[in-house]
Formats: sequence, C-alpha cells, structure tokens
Amino acid sequence: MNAQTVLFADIYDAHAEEIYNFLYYKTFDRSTAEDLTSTTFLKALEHFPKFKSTPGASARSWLYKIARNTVIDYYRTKKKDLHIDETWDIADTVSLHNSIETKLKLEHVLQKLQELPEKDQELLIMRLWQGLSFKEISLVLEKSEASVKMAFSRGLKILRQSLITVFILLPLLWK
Amino acid sequence: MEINAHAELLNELYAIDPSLRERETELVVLLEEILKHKPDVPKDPGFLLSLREQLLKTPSMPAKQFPAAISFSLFRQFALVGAGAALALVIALPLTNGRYSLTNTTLNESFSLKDTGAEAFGKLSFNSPASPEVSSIAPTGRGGGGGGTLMSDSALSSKLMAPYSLSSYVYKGKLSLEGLKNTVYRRNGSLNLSAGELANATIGPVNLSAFPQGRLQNFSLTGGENGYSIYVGDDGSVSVNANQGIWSSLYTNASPVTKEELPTDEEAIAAADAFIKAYGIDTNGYGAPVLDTRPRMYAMIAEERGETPYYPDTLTVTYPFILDGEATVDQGGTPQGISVNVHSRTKTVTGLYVQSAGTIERSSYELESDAEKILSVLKKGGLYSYSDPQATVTEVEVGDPEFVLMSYYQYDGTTNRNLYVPALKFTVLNPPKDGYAATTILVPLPKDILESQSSQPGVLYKTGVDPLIAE
Repeated sequence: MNAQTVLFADIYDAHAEEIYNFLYYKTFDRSTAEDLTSTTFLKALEHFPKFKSTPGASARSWLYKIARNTVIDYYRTKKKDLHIDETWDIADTVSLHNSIETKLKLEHVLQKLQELPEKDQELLIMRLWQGLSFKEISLVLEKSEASVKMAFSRGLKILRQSLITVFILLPLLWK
Repeated sequence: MEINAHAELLNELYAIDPSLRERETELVVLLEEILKHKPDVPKDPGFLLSLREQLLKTPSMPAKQFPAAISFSLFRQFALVGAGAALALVIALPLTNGRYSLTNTTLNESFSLKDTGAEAFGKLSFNSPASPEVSSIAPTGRGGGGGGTLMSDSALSSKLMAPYSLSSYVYKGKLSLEGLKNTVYRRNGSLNLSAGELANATIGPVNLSAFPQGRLQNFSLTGGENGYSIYVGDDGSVSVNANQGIWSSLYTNASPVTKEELPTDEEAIAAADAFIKAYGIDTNGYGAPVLDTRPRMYAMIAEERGETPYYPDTLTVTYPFILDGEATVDQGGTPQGISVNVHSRTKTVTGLYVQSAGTIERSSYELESDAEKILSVLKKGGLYSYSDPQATVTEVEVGDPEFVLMSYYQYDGTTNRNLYVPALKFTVLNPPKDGYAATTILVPLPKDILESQSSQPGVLYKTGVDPLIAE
C-alpha cells in the first residue's frame, strides 16, 4: 500500500458515512444508497491521482460533488425522461413506503421540502442535515458562495411559509 | 439542536438577509424542527467496512504529490470493528422537549461465552449464497441492492490503473499446524437496554407508556469536558467523537501536519490512556494499547521514494480485544478492540470506537491440515487478493506466523454476522518500496473457507488467468 492509498483510506474513513447518509437522503433506500456509495468511492479512487486542490477546497466537497453526480446519473438511468427536478418524487414513491414509521416521521418536512426546487432541497440538506459550510456547498454546486447563500435564504423562507402551520401554529393550539 | 450551531445558522441567515431578524422566533422553531426531523439512516454495519476493504485492495495508485491544502479530518470510526467487553459508561440522556430526563444510569455490559455444537454456524465460506465480501455482483447504481457490493469484475477491472506491481508472499520456514485451536466464534452483540423510566415518559402529546416494554435501540448524546458526541448503535457499538467546534478549530485553514508534530508512540499511548482513565472506560479483557504505526512507515517509504510524505491528522491507539486468550484482528491484521484516535498536532483524543460483544457463541470447525494449501493462499496475499496478468510480480518474504482470531463476516442474504475464525497472521519482513504490498497477510484456517477459495475460478478483482495460480 503506497502513501496515496493511505491518504485515500483517510479520506474514506473521514467521509464515507456522511456520503452514505447524503445518498440515503437523496434516495431513501438503503440498498440504493449502498450501491451509489460504492460507485461514488470507486469513481473517487479512479480520479484520485488527478485530484487537484484549489484554495479552500476540501476532499469533502470533492466527494459530495462526485456523489451528487452519481445520484443524478442514477436517476437519469432509472428513468430517462425524468427531469432532474423530479428525482425526489421518485425516491418518495419508490422507496419511502418501505418504512411506514419513517414516512410518518418525515411526512411534514419532506412534503414541504419536495415542493422546493431540487437544488434548493439539496442545499438545505447539505447545510442543515449534513453540516456543510456555504463555502463547501459552493464548491459542490459550482456556484458562487453568495448565490448559494441567497438560494439557501430563499429556500428557507419558502419553507417557513409552508411549515408555519405545522410547526408553529399547531403546537400553540396544543398548549 | 445545539445552541452554538443554532446561533451560527441564525447569524448566517441575518448576514444574508437582515430582515429575517424580525422572524427570529419562527426561524428558531423552523430550524429546530428541520433538524429534529432529520431522517434516521438505516445502516448495514458491515457495509462501509466491507467497501473500504475492497477499495483498498485495488492496486496502488500512481504516486503523485498530494495537494497540501486538502483538509483530512475526523475519525476513523469505520476502520475497526472491535469485539467489546465489560463496557461501562455513565450517561446522561436529556430530552429537550420532554418532562423527563434520565441521568446517571449505568450501562454495564459484559460478554459471555456460550458453547454450541460442531459447525453450529453453518457454512462459513464466502462463496456461499450472498456473502457480502465476495458476493455475486449487484447492478451498480440501479438500486439492485446486494448488501454493499461493488460493480462487476469486468466493469471494475476496466477502472483499475496499470501498470502496477503485485506481490507474491513467500514463507521460507516450515509451517507447523499442530495444536491449533479450531474454535470459531460468533458475536451476538446488540443493544439490550431497558428504557427504564423513559418508557413511562410523556413527551408532548405522547405518553410512551402506551407502548409497553419499550427498549432503547440506539441513542446519542453529548457530554464530557469538550462536548463529545456519543452514539450508541443498535449493534452495541459506542462511538465518541469530538464535537464539530473542535474540528472546525483544528481544520479551518490548518496546514498539514508535519513530521515534527507527530507524537511519539509514548505520547500517543499516554494521551489514549489519559482519556480512558478520565472517562472510566473499563479495559478489563483488553490487551495493552498498541499504536498503529503504519502511517509513519508509509511516510518513511514516501520519503525514500522522493515523494511528499503524508503525516496523518490522527493516529490510532487500540486496546486489543482478547477472546479466549487470543488476540482478535481485522482482515488486514489490525488489532480490534477499543480504538482511540489521538490528534497528531494537539495530542488530544478526538474519538473512540468500540463494539460491545454481548453473547459470543463458539463452535468447532475443521481446520485445513495441508500446509501447501495455506501457503498457496498466502502466496496470493490472502483471501481477497487481486490478480492480473498485466501486473509485474515481486516476491516478498514473510516471517513466522502468529495464531490469531480474524474478524470475518458471514451473510445469509438478510443478516450480516460477525464471526471470529482461527487464522495465521504473517508479517511482511521487508515491504517493497516500489509497488503494492500489504504489511500483514491473514490466512483463515477453516477448511470450509479455504476450499471455497480454491474452488473459485476467480476472486473478487480477478480478471484473467492468475499467473501465480497457473504456475
């Protein structure tokens, strides 16, 4: 095992679980998430020697970018006619029914998240559920940090409007 | 949601759009709810380990200088699957919106050994139906499942990089197989913890006592001087991680670790010992701590090659789990047990991982008695070796073997079981510096496994005639 393999192992150890989580959030199916995780890291291994850093870049952003492209390819393969903005709808109908408990728990949040444009959805997932910084997200999405922040703010505002009834008004009635 | 993270998100939002301050109350509730409804992610505990092992079995990558600005991070929590014992943790489990909190409960789990009949765990070999480590190939990226498989041999081989060199491992001594213990162990570790008073708690409109005999399946909490996050999995594993704030301070614009900053063996072990002592972690049943020195060795090899060496952010100290008097190791020969990660620069502990054992069953299995068969598997580099006629082959000598219990996964199509099988661990005497070579080779001894290996037309990454077999 050479030094670069050790480096790759380090990157894998640091990020494999969160990449798997991200792919699960994008598919809501364990087997699919496992397949896509395998593909993501195989691609990463293949391109590792070519991996170049830019100031502020991180292995984490690089892996997310590969994972995101992998899941886009997956949905394109699954249904060629499907627009990428609809991918989560597929995930929901195909897989989420596998766990009634999960479906119930996520129902409100996911329902409203699904109503957002796909890019806004994944932006919220990456920032809130996965803990990526705006800088990292901007590298993943290849957008400026400012535009990512604006999109995040916009998505959250929309979500606030749609979830205000569920999470703010209803609890007040329960009290 | 932690207060700091809360404030950070709000500040970010206000910086983007100051008018949001007027909606702070709503925003706080909204952020809390989104975070609270973060979906649980189901995981096969063996998947990430299996994938890691398979990825790292690929031939070495062309040597290039690694970009210095990359921030490597966090915690090798997947690198070891320990078998634990005697784990005691004092935990505090606050419920943010409940009327109830459970504090100072002691979770004290000791493993027990249970004897079973001969060959009680069924067929062990990996080419039995749907073994995860060398499974039949699942469609990649098409949701075909397959429990952590990679892509097909041919698809994978097309992605491998050539030219590269492979090693042929040779033992020049006389291999004695007399008196080896033929016991195979199966771990049945799972979290088995009563929910206690929590089962009767009322949380919001829900009274949990309506669901009688509630048991904890998994849980997470934060605690300790540095705000460690602790996760207890349903498989009985416990992982402790430094909080994100600490990591941010360590890695934001941090320069790579230098050779001078690496702790000595004694410093790393002392840091791990101090952590173990500070948190009262019971190491009874575990051996003396061992530092994983491979990163240092790889850096040295890189230096000798004229490459830029990489010095890792963290070093791993392991307290090996001793089972029936024998050391347990993973399939790479690394000790398993309580794994503690020590940050190279700060010499502080950034994480700990252990998998408690619960009940361990033991059963006798017939071991291979033909030394030549064992040596032929050794020669190829162990069970899941890679062979390719395009590769050049370098002979590598190994030293006298050590008897160990090797972690092994048995998959019946639905359940992944963690076994420990008798194995011989050979240590490479002088790793070649110009190609791929493992530092240790593990050869499992159960006849079932070895016969399966020899009957296979190819192992996982095999793409053609194996020149080593064809001799």
